[in-house]
Amino acid sequence: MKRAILLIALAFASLSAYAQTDQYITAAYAGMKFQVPGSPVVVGSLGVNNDILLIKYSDTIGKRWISFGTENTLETGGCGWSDFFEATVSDTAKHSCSQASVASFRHVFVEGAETGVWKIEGKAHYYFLSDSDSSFVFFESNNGNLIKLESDFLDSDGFRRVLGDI
Amino acid sequence: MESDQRENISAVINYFWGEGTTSPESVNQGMAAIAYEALEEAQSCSAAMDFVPRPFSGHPGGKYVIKQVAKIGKRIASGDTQIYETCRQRTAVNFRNKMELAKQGL
Repeated sequence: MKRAILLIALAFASLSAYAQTDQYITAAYAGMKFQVPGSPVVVGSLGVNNDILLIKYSDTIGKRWISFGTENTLETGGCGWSDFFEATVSDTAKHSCSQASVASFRHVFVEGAETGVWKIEGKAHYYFLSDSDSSFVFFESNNGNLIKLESDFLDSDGFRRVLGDI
Repeated sequence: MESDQRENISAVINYFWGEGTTSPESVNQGMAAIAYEALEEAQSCSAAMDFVPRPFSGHPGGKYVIKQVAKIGKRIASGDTQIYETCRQRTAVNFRNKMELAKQGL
């Protein structure tokens, strides 16, 4: 009996040790590296220009995925990316961006979402987190592209871990 | 899905994400569902910015979604979008990756 309990305990210890070492894998995108959860069921490049990296964790259609995409054509109402995102996440109406550009972005991305900025290695990451829908983080890559990180299941800690902040 | 519905739904998808994003033959149920969500968001955005159209509403079941998206697609194909351009652009960025997943059936 004691031996059986010992064997079961040993099996659990081995499994959790295996799970810990296998918990995250490295994803490379736009010249940067990210830590994403391990054991995906699909990894692929999507989009007309193949500029979306998809990592999916469920066989159910449309469920449990992380994606990286390049959104350089985002219209910013006459501002640079950082001024534009600062305007969208702050409550102040004082900014030099087009009001319509900021208002439309707020309507689509900000309403009903928790928003803010994470400074990671000196770089601003603008987050728009939703409990009921996809969540987004926008940031500039090392090679000057605007990257949209999106997921339907990551929470705040999950995103920060992907971005190397935890 | 009937062929004229496929054509109109592809008009909606190409309106949001650019010509050549899809063809009528490639349209599937998942893509129609994402197009429906995108239209709903863009219309809601336009309405919030005091632009004319009101968001459509209803229970988004399969046939309902296809009918609604096809109906709007017919209008879009004739040049009558009634969606504020800035809202179209935001919505396209928001739903782009979801649409690409749906295209691949993922």
